[in-house]
Amino acid sequence: MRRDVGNSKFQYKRRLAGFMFDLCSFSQAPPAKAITSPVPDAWYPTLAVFMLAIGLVLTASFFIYEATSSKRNRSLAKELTTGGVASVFLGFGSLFLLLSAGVYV
Amino acid sequence: MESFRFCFLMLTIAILASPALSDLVLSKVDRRRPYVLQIYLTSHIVRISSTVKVENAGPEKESLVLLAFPEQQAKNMAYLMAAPHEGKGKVKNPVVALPVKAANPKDMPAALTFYSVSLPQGLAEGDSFTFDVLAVFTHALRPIPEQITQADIQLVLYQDSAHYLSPYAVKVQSLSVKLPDSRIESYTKLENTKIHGSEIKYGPYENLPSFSYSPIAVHFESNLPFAVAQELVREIEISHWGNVQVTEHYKLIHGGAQSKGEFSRLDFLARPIVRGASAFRYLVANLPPRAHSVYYRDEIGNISTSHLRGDSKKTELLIEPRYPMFGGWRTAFTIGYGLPLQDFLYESDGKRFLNITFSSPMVELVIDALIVKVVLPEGSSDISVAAPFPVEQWQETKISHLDIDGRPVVVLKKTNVVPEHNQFFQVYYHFSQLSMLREPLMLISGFFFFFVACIVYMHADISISKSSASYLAKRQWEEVQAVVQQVQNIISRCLTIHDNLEASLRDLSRTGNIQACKAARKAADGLLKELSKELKPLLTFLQSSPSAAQVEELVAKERELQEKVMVKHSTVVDGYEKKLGARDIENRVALQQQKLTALRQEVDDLLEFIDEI
Repeated sequence: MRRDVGNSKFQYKRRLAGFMFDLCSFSQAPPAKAITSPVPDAWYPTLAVFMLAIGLVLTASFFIYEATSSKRNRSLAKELTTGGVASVFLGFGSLFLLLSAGVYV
Repeated sequence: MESFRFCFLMLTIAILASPALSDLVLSKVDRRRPYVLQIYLTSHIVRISSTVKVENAGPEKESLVLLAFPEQQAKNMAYLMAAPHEGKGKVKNPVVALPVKAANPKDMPAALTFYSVSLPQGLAEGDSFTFDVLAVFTHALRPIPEQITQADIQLVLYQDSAHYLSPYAVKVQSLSVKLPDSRIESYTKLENTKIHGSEIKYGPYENLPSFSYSPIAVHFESNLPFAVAQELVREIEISHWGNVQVTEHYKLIHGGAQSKGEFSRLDFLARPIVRGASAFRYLVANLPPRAHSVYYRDEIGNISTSHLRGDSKKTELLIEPRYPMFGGWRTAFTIGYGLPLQDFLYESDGKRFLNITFSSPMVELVIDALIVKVVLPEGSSDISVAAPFPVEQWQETKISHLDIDGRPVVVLKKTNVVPEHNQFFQVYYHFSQLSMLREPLMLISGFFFFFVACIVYMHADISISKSSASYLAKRQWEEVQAVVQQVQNIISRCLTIHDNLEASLRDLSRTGNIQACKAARKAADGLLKELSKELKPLLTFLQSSPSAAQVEELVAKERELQEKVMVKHSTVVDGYEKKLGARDIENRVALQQQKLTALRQEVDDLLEFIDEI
């Protein structure tokens, strides 16, 4: 094992020597503006939890309304609004959930 | 001290312009410094580094210098680079490399391959210029014997020329061969050959004619990892949500002497140095700083034998294959890591570009075929690539998470890649910030379609037999339910109006504004009348249904409540008009108030009861 470690050190030095020329030719990052994500990464878990919570509450209210109101008295506009708002929250919530879990879409 | 020597023992050759090429004659060579041609055989990648001082002895201006390599070597050449020489001790400034091109001069031996180096300025008569050349070769060490057992050490053979092969006359030259170990099986002995530990020195030789060639062979021990990736596919996926994901699929082989005989794991574990000298058991990858979510796996699953440590300059990943690698053994695995977006993605002139290293982060790895795939986000257009060396290039699309028409992929392919190729390259593209909303919009529309489907299901009538008794009964019951709900709704609105009246009374007692109170009463009367009108047809409809009794009772109670409220209201307003004391008024309405409370309780109970049916 000691021998292996020695080898790797040796190699590293070798590599340095080999790179002497190259260092010069490495192109430096051109002066340009770095691009960051629109929302800081650290916020993703919090955003996911809150947006999904709100979305699920709205979903629950949507289904309660569906189950309790009788067929004739149901208002389509109300159903669509609740469903639409719930899907916006669920959509962004699940996006942030994916991002915080490391699935960068 | 050793590393110092490594870095600065660059070699030099003074080259004279040969009469064959042009009428140049060499004038003077600086002899004070040891100009050495140096061959590094300390890994399986052969590096020849030379410092060349070229002088123009002829009357014509020269701006091109030819470098010659035997065909055998040229075949294995992976990298060639020339840069102006800077003396030792000087601060290294970033130096621009000199342009090097393949050349095909006339009247030259066919067995040689030529490259021409363009000098920054043409050399006039008597001028000289010093530059460094680095040539890197792969597969240049031949294992001899070709097959060894587990217990054998690995011996390799290297062949080259002790004289600097050049179309020019060479005034003074020396050569040093650096070996990994001082154990040398054999080497060619020429005049002026010296050996210092693991270094063999040939020369200095003076006044060599052009194309002088003096073959040498060195047979020596080299147990360093001969790691060769037969194929490496690097996938770099950009997400503008804050990540650059790099996934590298390796197909690795030990490129040294073939292993023969049986392999004993017991021997290997008991005495790894003796019984497995030629095997390599781990690889080191120098990942960029702030790399996260690093994984190392193969087809079976996660490989747990890896170590990761990082500081602000780099992240070092040490991975062990599932088994020690002997000569000719293969393994395939995948490593992946995420990098922060802001370190690699930039914007200039309205164009975005990725600036990332081209090759593998593995130390001393030869890659036979390297395929780099840059996966850009969906909606990118106007894609162009700037690479520091020629690469094969084409485009594909990849369907990944939440994609509609796929992400554009730029594929770059290069064969025979060495660590020297690990330079930055750029991929430029146009991307609109609005395209980032594609993914959330897909998710949102997905959820929305689900809700719409639920609404449609709840609204649709999906019974098959529209004339059966149970279906009709159900329809009727639904109608009754709807009407009962409407009645409930009206009653609760009435109750709200009652509450409003009570509130107006409280206002009256506070402000004494009788007019406002009367106006409230008037409005309430109007509303209640309307509501009772609405109620009438509903009650007629309900007469035949079983729950009619409760509903009628509810309506009756509500009427009673309504009357009582009106009476109370009139009494109180009267009291105020007659300017009676607050206590008198309270006494008058006390009895009514009790009845009101009781009635309200009954109405609420009934509402709840009906709600339950």
